[in-house]
Amino acid sequence: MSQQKLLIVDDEPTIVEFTQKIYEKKGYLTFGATDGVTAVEIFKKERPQVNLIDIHMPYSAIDGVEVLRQIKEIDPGAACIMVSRITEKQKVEDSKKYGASAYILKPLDLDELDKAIAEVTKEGGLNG
Amino acid sequence: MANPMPNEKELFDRIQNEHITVAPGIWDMLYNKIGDDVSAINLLCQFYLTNKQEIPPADAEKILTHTMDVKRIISDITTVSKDNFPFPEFKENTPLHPIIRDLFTHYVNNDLYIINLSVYDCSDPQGQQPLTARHIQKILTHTRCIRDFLEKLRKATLT
Repeated sequence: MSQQKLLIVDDEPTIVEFTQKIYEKKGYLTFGATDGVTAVEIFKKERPQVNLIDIHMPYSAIDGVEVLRQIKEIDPGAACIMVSRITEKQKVEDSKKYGASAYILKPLDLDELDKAIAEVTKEGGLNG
Repeated sequence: MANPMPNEKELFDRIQNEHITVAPGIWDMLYNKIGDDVSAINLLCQFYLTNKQEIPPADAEKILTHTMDVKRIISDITTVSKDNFPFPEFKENTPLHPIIRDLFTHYVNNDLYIINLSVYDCSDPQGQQPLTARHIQKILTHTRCIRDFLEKLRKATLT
């Protein structure tokens, strides 16, 4: 079976760095982006099966919802887990509209991240 | 968690009874900024803990950078004077109610202090030393406390 690809999109570099390290140890081939435009470029080239996207990226030319919209336009089957804050109800609604697979809340915790990734890979038949 | 304030129950009762709130925009900002910093510390610690490795000095320094960032946000957000409030977008909001301010400064600052102490505990005259599993566990306990406190306060101020 080919190696699963995971894209991590977050404007906080430490989050990207350590999420990549954690999932590389778990056997994923990981890619990181600290802005939305780079994330979409990586997606076009690498087509990761799982995409972990921070909704709120104030210093990025496009935010997480727009990254999701563009990814889904390229590949409607791509699994996208949106990372939001409890206060971002409207953006979560927008993400639902564009077909996000799951949501997790910041501050991030590894157990919750593992669960969300396991769920979307199971749903999409990516584990088998 | 930081030691409870002796009058904590009374303060939370007052928040509910007097309908003390926090402007939604301020909550947004707190969750955005603190959420990022706490997530970064969590993931960094969990990576090393899961791999049964000590945290090397360079990454221990990153923890301090993030705690300093949260501390600065708490300091800004708890500014007493409306004129000095550093966030122009919330100029029309009154500064935080004194009870909210006290709770924030007590709980979050104490948890940050303990996280910093855990990092400093592994430094000696030669400089920063790696953080052991015991220190990593302690840091994770206190990042969870910050998260739990924010959630408790958010729920209490939803009136």
